[in-house]
Amino acid sequence: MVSIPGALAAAAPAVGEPAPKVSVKKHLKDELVDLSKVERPTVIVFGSHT
Amino acid sequence: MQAGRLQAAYEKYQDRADFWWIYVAEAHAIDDPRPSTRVKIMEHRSFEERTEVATGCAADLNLSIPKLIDDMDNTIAEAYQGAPDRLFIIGKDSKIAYSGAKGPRGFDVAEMEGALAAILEGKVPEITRAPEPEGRSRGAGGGGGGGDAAKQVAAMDANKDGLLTKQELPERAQMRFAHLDTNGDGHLDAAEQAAFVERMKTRGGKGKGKGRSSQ
Repeated sequence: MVSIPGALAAAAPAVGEPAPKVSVKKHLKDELVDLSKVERPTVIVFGSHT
Repeated sequence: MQAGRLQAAYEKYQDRADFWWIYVAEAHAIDDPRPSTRVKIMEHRSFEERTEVATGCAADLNLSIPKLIDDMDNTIAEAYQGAPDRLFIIGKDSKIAYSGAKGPRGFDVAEMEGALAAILEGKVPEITRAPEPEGRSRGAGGGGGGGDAAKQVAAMDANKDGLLTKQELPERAQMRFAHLDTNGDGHLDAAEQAAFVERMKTRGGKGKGKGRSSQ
């Protein structure tokens, strides 16, 4: 993987860094997903309707 | 957000990778200075409202990727600098294995898919992305020619948000907006701008031939 500082936001996690310790609530469920500990490759997609 | 391509990637790889779509604050809510022309959504005032909007969005875009909802402090969007849209892959060692460029210009499903395929084969993804200043797009055609057309298109983005609305296009291009806006979301995203650049390159070449006498 090539590190491309100019293409990334200053605080975006870079390749090789541990995934940020953040838990996020599942849609319509009272359940949190801890994205700092995954068991297989995990794609995360940020987005909204607009 | 390239919903169709995302859905296809999800269907292709869901057996070997987990996918999460993290619903974040609206990028162009109707109370925003630059509201979306296609979807009329107020900025979410509560977590419940954000959840409800996410439900409608998934149905509208036909996206079945499991959803997570960012909290009203936008905690995960801040942690990843993920807004307005962005792609990442976390490897099974829980380290970042792919870090996509900031959307909408840098939101590249094909690039992510290539990285995911490599990761699943135990390889290190090779990402060839031209370094550019933060907030600017990489070359629309992946390099090699078309620099002027790409610069012209980039210069049309008056507010530098990475999207081109109809109003930001020159008058002649506005007449083709419906054709350029292939997903009909009211603005030209990175992929649509790349196609626009290609079109300009083609038309530019023809134009020169017509307008000037060739030998």
